[in-house]
Amino acid sequence: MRHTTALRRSIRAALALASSALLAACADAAAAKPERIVSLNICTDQLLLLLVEPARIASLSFFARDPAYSALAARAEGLRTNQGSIEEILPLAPDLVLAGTFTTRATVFLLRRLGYPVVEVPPETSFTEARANIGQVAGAVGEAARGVALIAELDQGLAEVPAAARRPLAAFYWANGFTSGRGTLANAVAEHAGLANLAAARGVRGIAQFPLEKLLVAEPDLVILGRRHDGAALANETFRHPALRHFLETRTAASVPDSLWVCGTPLVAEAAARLAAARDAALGRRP
Amino acid sequence: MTAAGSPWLLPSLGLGAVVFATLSLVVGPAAIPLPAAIAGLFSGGLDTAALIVREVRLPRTLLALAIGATLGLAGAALQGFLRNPLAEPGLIGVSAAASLGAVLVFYSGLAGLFAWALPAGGMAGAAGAVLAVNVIAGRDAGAMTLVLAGIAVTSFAGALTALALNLAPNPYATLEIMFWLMGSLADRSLDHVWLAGPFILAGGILLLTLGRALDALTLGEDAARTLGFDLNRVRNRLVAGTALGVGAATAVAGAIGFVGLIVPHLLRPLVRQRPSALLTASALGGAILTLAADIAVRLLSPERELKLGVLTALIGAPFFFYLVLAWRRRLI
Amino acid sequence: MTLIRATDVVVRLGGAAILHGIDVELAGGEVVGLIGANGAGKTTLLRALAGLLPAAQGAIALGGRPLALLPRRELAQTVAYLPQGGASHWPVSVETLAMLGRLPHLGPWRGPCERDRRAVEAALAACDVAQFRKRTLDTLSGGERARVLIARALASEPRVLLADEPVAGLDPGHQLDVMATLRRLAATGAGIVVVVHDLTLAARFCDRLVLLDAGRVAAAGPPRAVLSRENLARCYGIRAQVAEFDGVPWVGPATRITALESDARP
Repeated sequence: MRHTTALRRSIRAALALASSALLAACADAAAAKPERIVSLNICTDQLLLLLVEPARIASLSFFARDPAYSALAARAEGLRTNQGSIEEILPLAPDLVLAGTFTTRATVFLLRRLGYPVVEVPPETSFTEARANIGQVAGAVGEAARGVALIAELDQGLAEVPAAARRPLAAFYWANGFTSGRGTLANAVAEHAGLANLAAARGVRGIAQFPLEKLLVAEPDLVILGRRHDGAALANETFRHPALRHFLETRTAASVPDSLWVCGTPLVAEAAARLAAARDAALGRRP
Repeated sequence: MTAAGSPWLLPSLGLGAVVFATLSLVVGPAAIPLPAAIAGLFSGGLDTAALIVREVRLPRTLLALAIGATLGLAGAALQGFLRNPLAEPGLIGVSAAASLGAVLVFYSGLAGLFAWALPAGGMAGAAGAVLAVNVIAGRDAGAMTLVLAGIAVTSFAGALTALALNLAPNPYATLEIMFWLMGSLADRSLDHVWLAGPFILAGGILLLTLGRALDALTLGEDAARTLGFDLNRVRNRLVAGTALGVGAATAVAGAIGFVGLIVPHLLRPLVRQRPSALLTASALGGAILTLAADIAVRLLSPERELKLGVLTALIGAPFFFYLVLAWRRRLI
Repeated sequence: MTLIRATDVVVRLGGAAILHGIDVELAGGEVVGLIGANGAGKTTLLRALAGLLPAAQGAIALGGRPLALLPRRELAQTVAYLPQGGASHWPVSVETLAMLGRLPHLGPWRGPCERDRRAVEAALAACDVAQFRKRTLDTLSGGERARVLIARALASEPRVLLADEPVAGLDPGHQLDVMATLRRLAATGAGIVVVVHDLTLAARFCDRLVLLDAGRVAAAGPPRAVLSRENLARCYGIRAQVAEFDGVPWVGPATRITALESDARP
């Protein structure tokens, strides 16, 4: 039964691909493509790197070259980066600016005032939004066909995540005791990977702090830990707490690099796959 | 000494500390009934309830006791020595400077060099502040001068702390500065208790030995000297005791203010104004106040948003205001 | 027997020499009055004798031993010092305040014992303030306050009492009370040095007077000898009548010697 579902999915995807590619190709032919694209946001960076060739990228945000956050840091090698200030951007004479909806507000406002084309892309909190964002950015940079392909890649990857018989309880525990509840991409990935997110079950919305006691008393089967910062940070103390360490001696702990799922790129499927593997380990531990 | 105030005071305060400490073990986001909490404390088991009580709530309780005692004690000692009702570690800049010392050690990576580097940083900062205030305010300084000296030290230390965090390659800097400036006991572990405990104890003992000297200072510096007290040594013990206690406390819990201001004032009438009796009473009173504030933080904002220092400031700042109004004439 | 002997003592404050070669002696059982114009160095000398200021030159000996080498505790047990304008910073009870005088005698770990309590009781009685024992200083009158502070000094059972203007600001009746108390203390064998501005009072209650002028001893000896018109003119700049009533010198109303007159004097 799994094979037929997968086959049906693949056929549907292929059909969708073909039809949208046809439409997209027409659209591309009609509009002129931007040649000097500036990105102010880590997620638009990723999409940009996936959609266009480096020659058309005028500048990326400084996160793009940080391997902790950017899975495509290698591809960003040699490209100019910016800190989001208007002074860095104006000399580049961009013909398209991609920005997020929360940061660099003043810069975006000024750019709009000065007449530059700015496309604002909200942070994705679900797969639907991820697909929508890919489509939006792809259309803006004149690579709609490529965008369709990326979406298909994402869907394909998600489809390949194996299901499991039971849904173990999992808790996200990021630096400084934050967790991801309902309405976050991490939550969507967890749900898709066959996990029950403790924070969502406790009514947490968005990213918020979660008391260690509450996490421990719920006795989750799997704890997904955040990344330790390289230097000194109080945030790292979170992971060293003896109560957590003792607890994890009898549970499964896992970690998934931020770079895979901080943005809604096809790499999110990879994050889901890793979570599924962790899920299997947790299930193996406690039958 | 005769007329020492009610003989029931210290036992009552001691009992209060025990009651609040027990409450502290029971209050938390995870509902654990008292018998289970007590059992978990002593069982040594690894079940969740025991783990939470022993590794999460117990450190918090012990630290609140120790830090509260040290703050109350330091406040009473500073007020006795400087003969000034506004002296307390927070107001005269000791906590802010201790924060700075700890921040410099922590974010430069020095904290990893040897086990007690972090409290050492806090203690160095605290010592620097007490000495600086002594230099600026001088002998027999009025309240005004003292508060101004405290403002100077606090502003300077705060600015440098912000600078240090700005320069540190730490993406969580803006969040973490709240911890250092406002103090918190959330998610402290027994590691922190062992880290700060010995120094807090040593500082406390040093401060408790100042009782007689502070009594003598009631008559002024000259009379105290002729009663046989070496005021330089008294001052050194005060600096060392405050630096050890407040320095180590701030290194593990951030800057917590106003406890040393409120507690001695409330208890002074109950010990018939005697500085020596006030020391022990303030230690116990400080412990109770800090425990109560920490329990309140857990009850008011179980999702851990509220910092402990915010609560003590909410109580302390109006109290400070009242003090200024009540002592207006004496202070200028 | 000589309790204190100061020989050729020079004391500097802030670089300037305040006392130039002072010779002063105090014997047991006597009250020595330290008089002189403002700024003559009376308080400085008293503080030097109390061990609060070091002697840049010269020597101060207590019971034959150098003051500077005496252990702090022994010095505190032997010498009691009453600072000028004494006050109590915290409003403690009279009893508690008087007990502070026993601090030099208390052991490191024990509280006051029976001996200490008796000494405090005696001191309170001697100063006639026992009835105020539970009250705080700020509820007492000026005279009562002064007596309480003296009681603190007496409580330590000192051999030497150094009092800096203990009667300043007191009404005549209270002034007499305080000076009488000091005399009673001297009668027990203690030596007392008291700084006083009222010359008649000084003459009446002191066995000897030491007159300071600009950091030097201008005259020392019985009041009759020290309170001469010449000394008064030279050290205070006043012209006064000095008479005797019942064998006690009495300094009459004084007039200021103006600058012209003092230049004209031979």
